[in-house]
Amino acid sequence: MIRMSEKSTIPFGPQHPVLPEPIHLKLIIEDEKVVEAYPAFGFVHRGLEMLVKKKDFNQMVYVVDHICGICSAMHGQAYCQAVEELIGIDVPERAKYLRVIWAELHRIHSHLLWFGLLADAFGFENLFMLSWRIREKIMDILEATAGNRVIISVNVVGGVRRDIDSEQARWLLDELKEVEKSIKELDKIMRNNYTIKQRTVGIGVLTKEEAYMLGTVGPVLRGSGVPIDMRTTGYAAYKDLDFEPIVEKDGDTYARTIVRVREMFQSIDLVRQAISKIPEGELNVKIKPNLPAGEAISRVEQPRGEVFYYIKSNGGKYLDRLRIRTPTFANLASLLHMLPGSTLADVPVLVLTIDPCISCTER
Amino acid sequence: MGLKEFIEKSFKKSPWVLHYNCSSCNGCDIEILACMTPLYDMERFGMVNVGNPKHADILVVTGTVNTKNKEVLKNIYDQMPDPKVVVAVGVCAATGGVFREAYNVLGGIDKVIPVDVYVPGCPAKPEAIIDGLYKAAEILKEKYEKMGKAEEVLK
Amino acid sequence: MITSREVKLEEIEKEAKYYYNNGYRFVTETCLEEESKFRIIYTFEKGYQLYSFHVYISPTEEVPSISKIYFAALPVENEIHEMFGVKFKNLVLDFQGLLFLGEYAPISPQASIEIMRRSKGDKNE
Repeated sequence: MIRMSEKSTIPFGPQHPVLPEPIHLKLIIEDEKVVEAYPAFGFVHRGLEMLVKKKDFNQMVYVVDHICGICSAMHGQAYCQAVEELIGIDVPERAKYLRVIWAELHRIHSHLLWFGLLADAFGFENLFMLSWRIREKIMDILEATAGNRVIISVNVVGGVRRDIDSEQARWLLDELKEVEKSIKELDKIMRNNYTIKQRTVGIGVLTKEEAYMLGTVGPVLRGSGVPIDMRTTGYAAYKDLDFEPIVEKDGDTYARTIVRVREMFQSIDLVRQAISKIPEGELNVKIKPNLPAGEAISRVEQPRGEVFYYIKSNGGKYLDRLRIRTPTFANLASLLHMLPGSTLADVPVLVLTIDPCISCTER
Repeated sequence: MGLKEFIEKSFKKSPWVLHYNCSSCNGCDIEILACMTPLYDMERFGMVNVGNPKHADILVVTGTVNTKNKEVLKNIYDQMPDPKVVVAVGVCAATGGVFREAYNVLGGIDKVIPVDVYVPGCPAKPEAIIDGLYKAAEILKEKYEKMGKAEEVLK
Repeated sequence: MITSREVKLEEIEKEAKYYYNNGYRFVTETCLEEESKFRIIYTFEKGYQLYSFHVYISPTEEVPSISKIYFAALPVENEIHEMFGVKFKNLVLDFQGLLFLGEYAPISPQASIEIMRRSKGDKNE
């Protein structure tokens, strides 16, 4: 008789059809259950933190924008906020509102992208196409307002580089109306579809305590019922906008999906609020070419969770140290916690449930 | 149309595409995925994104080569059957781009594998990617004719 | 602005346990190179407030790992070991310097102080 309970090792990745990015997992399998999982990274590691020695602090804005193409505007925003805090300048109000608008548009496109990839991971290709078609409208808005589709690079130290005039804002709101209608359709599909529920309900459960103590961030944390959202700390213009962190109780993949879909509606609402409240004024302030010595921290809520920037300067044009704790890096611990005990077929869904961004993680 | 022409034509019209992300920032990758979705619809040229290197005719690479993934890239390239075409999407794949000076980056992918088509842009626009892939399909046909595979199939 | 207090190397585990038992979340560890010493800042969070402490270590000292207390510290400590060459004691899962860097990558690339060497491979392409 053949013994069925022997352990075997299955490599997952680095070039895997489910993921657009390379991640390698070594899965130790017993029957169909995963008993151990070891990740291996480094296929995207470039060493961007060390570029601070070669590029001055203004050029670095463009480099941090390239940490990740999906949430590039927020990386630039977090970096600029840290440097602004170090110098001790206040950004013009209009620039703060514009940062919010672009950041929230990025959140919508990122969540739609993730939703499509999740659908693709469990073989629902139709839904993948649908959510990416909706996403194209957001990409059009970004291209019209910022000049590029993916990496928009609007942030500079001291403000923003581009403006959205009132005519463009009106057009933007019209487009958003269309987007909202389409996302409502998506929401309906998600809440009623049998396939989605079969593949997501009860998969990758994190309890409230586990999620909290594992240092989880973003929709994964809020899907487990912990109301932590960095935007409530009121950076940029969020202090003047009205919103609540979105929380779901169940802590499984389905709950995280609901959190992300509800966040899209929230983001649309935030863009509308920001456009209605945006004041007139300057776009950026002039800054001195040299930095003062000191340290600063900036925390920004990205689509995947909180990003943590630490900068240190000894004076002069160049920073001494830049440290970036990206959301996926914080969520790795919860992924490693969820994988043992799951079945092999659920591994792609589990990897996608934390919305992994490998180029963020490895920098 | 004779059988030979038919085989040649069908080979040109529907090349299968394999996408590998070296150390890209994701910008070009999501644009390649966007090419497959309804608005740009790469599939109208018969191009299908596949996950298996042995099924693929065109290798699309984004991002720079670093010290760890250069072997993976070489490995994938070697597994693909001849004739094959390599498309480098984005400035990072061409020269290293903004990451060129970073310590773990070796430069453009042409340091590891031969490249046939360079698509510029940071990130490259879907229109440019489609253009590059169309060019790749033509190069593929040329390579195919040089190999004389059609005669071999007909034997 | 960051406020952090200095603790001794032996007290790290005790401090981390204190934070864990009082319901603080782990945010990150940051390693800095200051003159010929390393400074590691441990950052925790509770109610959107950050709390930090730091240690100064000489390049040859081993740091006790807090990954047994905070599992989330595991990738961070492995990264610091890789990038700076700082050694950690009692890691839950030790990647031995191969989490991010390949075998042919430069060794401890973010530090100018050289602690560890790899026997094979060089960075010449």
